[in-house]
This record gives sequence, C-alpha cells and structure tokens, in this order.
Amino acid sequence: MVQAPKVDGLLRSGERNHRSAVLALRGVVFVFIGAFMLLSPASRHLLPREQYIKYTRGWKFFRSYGTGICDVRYELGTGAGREPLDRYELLGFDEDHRKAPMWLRRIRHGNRAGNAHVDRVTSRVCRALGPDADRLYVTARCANRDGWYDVYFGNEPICPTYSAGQSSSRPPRVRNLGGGRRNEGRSP
Amino acid sequence: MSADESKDDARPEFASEVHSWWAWIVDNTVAYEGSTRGAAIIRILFPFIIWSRWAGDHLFYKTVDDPIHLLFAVGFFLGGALMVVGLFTRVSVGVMALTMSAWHLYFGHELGMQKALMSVNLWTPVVGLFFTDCGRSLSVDRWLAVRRAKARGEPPPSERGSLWGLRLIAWQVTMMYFWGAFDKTDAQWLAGERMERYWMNFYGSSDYPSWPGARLLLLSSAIGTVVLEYALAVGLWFEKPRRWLWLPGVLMHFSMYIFLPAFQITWQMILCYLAFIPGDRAHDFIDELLGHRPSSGAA
Repeated sequence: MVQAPKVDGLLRSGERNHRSAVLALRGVVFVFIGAFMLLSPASRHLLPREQYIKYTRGWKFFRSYGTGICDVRYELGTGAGREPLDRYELLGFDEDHRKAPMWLRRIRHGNRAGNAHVDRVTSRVCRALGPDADRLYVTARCANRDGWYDVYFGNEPICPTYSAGQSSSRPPRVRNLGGGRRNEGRSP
Repeated sequence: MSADESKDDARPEFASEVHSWWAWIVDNTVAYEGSTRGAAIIRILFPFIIWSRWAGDHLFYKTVDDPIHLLFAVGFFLGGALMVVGLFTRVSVGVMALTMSAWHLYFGHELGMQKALMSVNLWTPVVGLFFTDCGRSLSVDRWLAVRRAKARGEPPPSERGSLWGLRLIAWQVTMMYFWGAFDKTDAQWLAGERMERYWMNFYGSSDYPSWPGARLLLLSSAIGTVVLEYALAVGLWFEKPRRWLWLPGVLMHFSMYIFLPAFQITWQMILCYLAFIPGDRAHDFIDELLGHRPSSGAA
C-alpha cells in the first residue's frame, strides 16, 4: 500500500513520456507538411522555373481562363477622322449580335493560330467593304496569361497589307477559327 | 536591489512566459483537441467532391486491365465509401489518403497525367483528415461504440478527440488564398484586365463591354477579390474577423462556381472553412440545431 503512490507516479510519468513522444512525432509531421504547403507554392512564385519545388501548385487560379480572346475594333477613315464600323451590320448580322456566328462574335488569337483568326475576319470585312476597304483600320489586342498585348495598332489601313491570296473570296474556315470554342482553361 | 538580483528575478518570469507561449503553441497545433463533429462533416462530404471530379477516370472497365490502376480504383471507391459512412474510419481515411497521394504523386508526377497533377487541393485535406479522430462523430463506428456502451450500462463515449489535422487543412486553405491573392497582385489584374477577358470570353464578345458601369464593375470585382482573398488568408484564423469574412468568402466561391468553370474548388474551399471553427463550437451549434443542450462533445 505504501508503494502505491510511487507506482502511480511512475505510471503517470510513463504516460507523460509517451504523450511527449507522440506530440514530438506529430510536431515533426506537422512542420514537414506545413513547410511543404508553404514553400512549394512560394518557390513557384519567387524562384526561376528550374528551381521549383515539385509536387504542389502555385495556386495561380484562372490564369489561363479567357486567354486568346481579342478585343477588336474596326474603324473607317473619313475626311474628318475615323468612325466606328459595325462588323455585324456589315456582314449581315445586324438584328441581334448574339445570333451572329461565334467566329464573328469572339475573335481569338491562340498561340497555335497566330493572328490567323483576326486576319480572316478582317479580310472578310475588307471584301464586304469593296472599294471602301482602303479606309479600314483595325485595332486589336489579345489576351495571354499575363494580360492584353497589342496585335494591330490601327495606325494604317489594314486591307492593302493583305496579299492577293489572303484576300480571296474564299470564306473563313469557321471550324478552324477557334471562335466558337470556349477556352475554358484548366479547372483548378 | 542590485542589478544581479533583479536579473535573477527576471529569469523565472521570462522562462515562465516562454513556457506559457510554448504550451499555447502546442495546445493549438499538435495537441489541438475538441469535438470531432466538424471534422466528421468534412470526412462525410469530401469523398463526394473527389468522386465528382475523378470517378469517371477510374471506372472498373477502364482499370480492369491494369493491376495497379485496379488496386487504385478499389482504394478510391471502397476507401471513399467507408469514409463517408465512417466504418473502420481511421483505416478508410488512411486508404483514401494513400490513394490520393498515389493519384497525385504516381499518376501525376511519375506518369505525367495532367489532371492528376492538378489534384493537390483535394489531396492534402484528406491527408490532414487522417490526423484527426473524425470517426468519433457521425459515423457507424460511433453508432457501434454507443451500442456497446449502452449494453454495458455506461454513458455514450465522448465525441472529443484529436483534431491537429484540421490545422493542416486550415493552413492549406490559407496558402491557397494567400498565394492566389499574391498571384493577382500585379498591374494587369489590378487594372481589371483579366476580369475584362473573362467577361469577353465567357459572356461577351470581341467588342469591349460598353454597357453602363462595365469598367467600374470589372475593376471593383478584380480589386475586391484580391482584398478579400488576403483577408480570408489571415482573418479566418481569428474568431471576430471570421464572423464577418465567412459569408463574403462563401459568396465569392459561389459566384465563381456560377460564373466560371471553377468546379470542385468551390465546394472544397467552403467545406474546409469548417477546419477553422473550434470543434466544440461546431458541436454546440449542431446540438442547438437539433434542439439539444450544448454539450461540447462531452458525451
């Protein structure tokens, strides 16, 4: 009976040691996983690409969404300056723009297509304008992962710059334009 | 009193201060405990989010010819199902954690599958959940334990348990908000350029939006998103800011879900908010919801 408190004390001491060991082990795992969660995305933001820590992501959400879409503005030169040109009206889709074909609504500038889509739509506008084509100016900027970049500055008439082959009467190949395909990017 | 004496007096005070700080850190990280109901809700719902994303890739007719993929699929579906119902919970969550680790590390980094590389946000929370006693609440394991206790004439077992894995899940959410906001802290985002292209690509056309207030709305959404993400990264950890931040956070994710193809990240982030809420608070809230007296998981 006299020994009981001593045994209890030893047991409690054993439990304490066990608890401390468990907590220490947890601490190692906690710090390892926590540091991985912090440093891996940090490396993707702060270090050059070849020094990335693999196995996680940089949490760069929605960066690729909408890349390739172009902001295109057509203008006709007049004696006094320039006036906006409605491409829908010119190409016969003036009733409701939302019913216009996607290649005309969403003009794209994908990496693989170069500026082919902008050029195809523009050459079609040139043809529709007929003799007034010499007065067409286009200002176009397209989106990449970082922001807008300029494709055409609108500082000179665009139609004369196209070669005879490009300005043939052949209509744009709609399926290859990419305008009807949404670049939804990768889902995070 | 000499300078040496005053130094001697200060030492124990300093040591006790350090000790109390250290105890606070340990209590709130690796020794963090409380009611396991919040963790149990994450455990129940998380497999559905994972399945909704990838179940189609691991159907048996796609995996039956490849033993490794088949084994993976068994873990993926069976581990997930047992995790949902909470049977052999520790093992089933462990199986799911292993499965998700294999999906990301083997299928993603070893075999180079792009969709597996993108799975980090669903991988680490399952690993975090493994380090909780999430089977002690809302589970078949709990039901069996209650029945056993009843048969012995004892009160139902406590729902309290270790929750330190929730801290890892919360840390993951913080990292996602912080680095997400950091990535947006550039001239293009803050000038609204990316919002403009989202609008034009998904809703508008190659004509810059001309409706009244378009520019202001796109710009304010861009700046508001960055500010909110930084605020969520820090504020969710503290009780008072959390009260004001959770709803804007949920609304932000829900609006992304409706307006952009954001898929599973919406539900995952909203669900992981539970990792910030103290276990006992979640327990009492559910007690109140059911019309019971709040018991903080005591029984």
